[in-house]
Amino acid sequence: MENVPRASDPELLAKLSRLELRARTAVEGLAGGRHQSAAFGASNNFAQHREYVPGDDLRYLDWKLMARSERDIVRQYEEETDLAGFLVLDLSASMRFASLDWSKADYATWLAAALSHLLQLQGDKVGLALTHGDRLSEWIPARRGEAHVQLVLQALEGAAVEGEGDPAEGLRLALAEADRRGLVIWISDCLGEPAAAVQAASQLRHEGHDLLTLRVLDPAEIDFPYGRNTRFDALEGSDHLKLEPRAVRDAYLAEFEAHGAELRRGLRALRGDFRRMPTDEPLDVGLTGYLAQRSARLRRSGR
Amino acid sequence: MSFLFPGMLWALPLVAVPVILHLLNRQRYQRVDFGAMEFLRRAIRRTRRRVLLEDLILLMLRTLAVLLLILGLAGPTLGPGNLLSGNQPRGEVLVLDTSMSMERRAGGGSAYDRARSAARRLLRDLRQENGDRAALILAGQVTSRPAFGDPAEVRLALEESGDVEAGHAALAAALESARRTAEAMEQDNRLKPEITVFSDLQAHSWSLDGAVGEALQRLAVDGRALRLVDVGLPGGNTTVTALALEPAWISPGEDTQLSATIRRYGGPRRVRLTVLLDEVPVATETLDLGTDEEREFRTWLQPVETGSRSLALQLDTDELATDDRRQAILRVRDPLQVLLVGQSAPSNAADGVYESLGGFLDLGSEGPFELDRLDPSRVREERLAEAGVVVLADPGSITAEGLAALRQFVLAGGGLLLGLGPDTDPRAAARILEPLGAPPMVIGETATTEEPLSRLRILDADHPALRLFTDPRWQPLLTEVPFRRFRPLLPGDDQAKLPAVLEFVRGADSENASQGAAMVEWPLGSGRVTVLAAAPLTGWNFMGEVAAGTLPFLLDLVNHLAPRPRHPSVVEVGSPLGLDLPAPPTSLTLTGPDGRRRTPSDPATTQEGGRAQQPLLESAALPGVWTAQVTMLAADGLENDLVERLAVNPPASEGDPAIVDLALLQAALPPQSTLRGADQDGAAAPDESGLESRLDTHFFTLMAILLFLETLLAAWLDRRRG
Repeated sequence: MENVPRASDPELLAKLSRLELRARTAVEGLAGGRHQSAAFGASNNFAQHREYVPGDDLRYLDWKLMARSERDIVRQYEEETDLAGFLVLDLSASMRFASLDWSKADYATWLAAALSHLLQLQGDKVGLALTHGDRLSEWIPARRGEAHVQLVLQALEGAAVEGEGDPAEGLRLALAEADRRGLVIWISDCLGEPAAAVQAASQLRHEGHDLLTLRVLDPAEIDFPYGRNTRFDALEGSDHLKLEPRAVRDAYLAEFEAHGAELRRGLRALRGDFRRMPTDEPLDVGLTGYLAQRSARLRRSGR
Repeated sequence: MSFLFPGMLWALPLVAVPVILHLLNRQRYQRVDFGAMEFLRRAIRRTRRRVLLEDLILLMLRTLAVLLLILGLAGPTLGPGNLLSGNQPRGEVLVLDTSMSMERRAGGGSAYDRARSAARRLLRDLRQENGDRAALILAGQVTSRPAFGDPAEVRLALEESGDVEAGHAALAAALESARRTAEAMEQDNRLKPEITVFSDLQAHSWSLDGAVGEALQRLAVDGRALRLVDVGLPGGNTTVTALALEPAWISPGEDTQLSATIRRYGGPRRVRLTVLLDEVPVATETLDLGTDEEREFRTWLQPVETGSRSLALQLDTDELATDDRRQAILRVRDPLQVLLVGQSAPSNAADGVYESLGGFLDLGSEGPFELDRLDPSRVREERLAEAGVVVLADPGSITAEGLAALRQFVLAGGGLLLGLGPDTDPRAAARILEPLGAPPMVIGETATTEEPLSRLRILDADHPALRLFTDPRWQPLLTEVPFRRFRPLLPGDDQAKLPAVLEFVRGADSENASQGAAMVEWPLGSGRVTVLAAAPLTGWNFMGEVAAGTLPFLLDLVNHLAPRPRHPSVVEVGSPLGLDLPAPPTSLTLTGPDGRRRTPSDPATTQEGGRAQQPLLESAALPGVWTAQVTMLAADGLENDLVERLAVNPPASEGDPAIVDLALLQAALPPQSTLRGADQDGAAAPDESGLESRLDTHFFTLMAILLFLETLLAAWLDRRRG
């Protein structure tokens, strides 16, 4: 099962030319690969019965009807939501880092596109904020509809990857633009100070938002697989470091993990979801994270 | 500490290689654009000191390993006294064995090369300005001390000391010289000199029971320890231990037998030998010899050309080359002139000595002599000038002038044979003998014997004229000849003992009492006189086996009396060389085996009779054939040229590679002495002396340990750093 290609595999998505196509492929792949329907979420309003297809949520199997008809029947509910999803995409220069054929920024863009498509499929409103470190470059308010999603995708496709500074500051600036409460999906490498991120998240929670943090990391940042002498040029700033990577690898990984742990601990303490997204793994983690967070929010809102 | 191969120290800058590689390595970087720089900065801050320390340790281990490798290859040695004596002035008395056996080669170098190399290292650190002193003593046939005092001069003398000698080492004299030198050094410089002897420890040189043992005892009495360094090399040797010609003095066309002894101490079994006459190969043979086997080799030669001819027996060259060749000299003279002086017996010619001797010696053109006859009354000096041997047979009427001429003839080297028969006039014979320096003797009355008849008994079996009769098969040809009538020779008084070679005895029993001497011989000047009372009369010819005129006894006797140089033509290395000449030389040149000409400086001494003894060399050091070209002034005023060759051979015992019993040697050495072998420390490099402690093995071991530690550390770091 591990070797079966998925539609949300970044390797596959990298071969697709248009971002929209990538978004659809990722989302529909997700729907077919998991027992989770993408088009119908949890709702109290029963709509109809239909035959079970792979990917349907097993919770919606109608056991009584199945016993009578000897067929697999699921119950469908009408979509009914006014959820606003704010995609805050960090496109600072550090997101240019790539040890694979695609960078963190590429992966994050695909993820944002897939999520906007998924939001649209779920009938939710989609908003987009493009940040570049501590700078906000674009803000698209949350709206519903196909045309709006196209607008979002266009913004994603044309976005530059540049800028420096703590991405938490970009998050904070983006939230200042939000005109309503919703689910904030922060897509970033989160290489800033954990305390700043926690502070931004705290403010966000205070304003009634839910937060899903998708931390996009390159495998090389996680494993630090470099051999002998390497000159590391900073993507943000102009300095560089010459060193024998193996000599500092343990210390680097310790620092890195400590940073990640502090970040995770801080954000989860604020009841925000935090998921690490290595760029060599399918987008599923991010998409299912969104679905789980959406369900939780809908449950809290009593629908 | 010093080094065997100091040239390797030029590689010392290579110790910087690990540092340079480290620095170069640090210059080669792959470039990566990286985002998470802050973590790297923190990681570097955390690990900087540890990484630096690890790198430094690694670098130090690698640099040290390279350093030890270079130092190890340079052959570090811990010299005697360098560390122990610090900066104290040192005195070194070096004794080098220069005997022939030190020439033994193995792997390109000889034992003597090893000795010199070791001595060179011992002298290397000595400086006169530091108060150091040194002396070099060469123990050859003659002990020499070419340098004493300034170590620089001793070093120079060592370099100029040349090759080994082809003879024995006078080790006793050398040790005594070393003892005195050390004593002088101690008194003059207040040093405690060390005596070091470099030798192959050949048993023949180290005669512990003899003079060497006594010299060691004297050292012990003086409280002087000895450093004895064995520089000997292993390997076999095959040598010519003896070479002889019999006879070595012949006429053209005569045969001479060459006999040689070849001994194999080891090495290849098959040995090819070549006989060279005047350096031209005349015979070859291949011998298959077992270990320690001695083999006789014989061959006959019949040279025609007259003169002093050199003969050599040459073997395939082995580890010790000098003893693979041995020389002899064969003198091929002009035909011997024999002058028969006498008169026919008036009554019975068949019994006359004159007829008898004439019959046996006159062999015509086929004979080995040119026989001429002379009436006794006509004996004059000028008539004797051409003769080599004069045979007097009943020469009753020789004038006083003739007798004086005969005396002069013998004094000058001529041979005189006086034959006495039963009818010889004893007064006339006594008159002849008087000026010839005869021992006190009288010519006895004519003895007449019936059965059992008288016979001859040999008193001097080594007499050259009797060589045939030492063989039991032929001895009866002399001792079974019956004598009925004869005049024996009797001592002149009761106390005198005649120098008799043969005597008359009656009957066949060898225990029978003597009837008087039959043959008496004595030297006079450079010549020799023989009185033969048993002149071969016709009765000798009654033996059917002996044809007339072929009696070897008379031929050998005349040959024996023929004039010849009285100097030895073959000597051993180290012996004096000289010539016995008919007259003092007017010019003389000596050419050695090396082709170098020498002019002897010592004058000739003239002997009674006019012959001269010319010394050539006090000690012949070079083996081979020496050639003397001599010009002499003859009695007629004309110059005579003579070319005389002399052979110098190495001592046969030097070819024996057996070494002295080391246990006995250890016991004989003075207290505190050391005996070290060149191979004692393991690898036997050609120039390793055993005198110094080699440290290279320790260096290499330490290097291996460092490399092992470096590998462990690097592996551990690799594993830890991932």
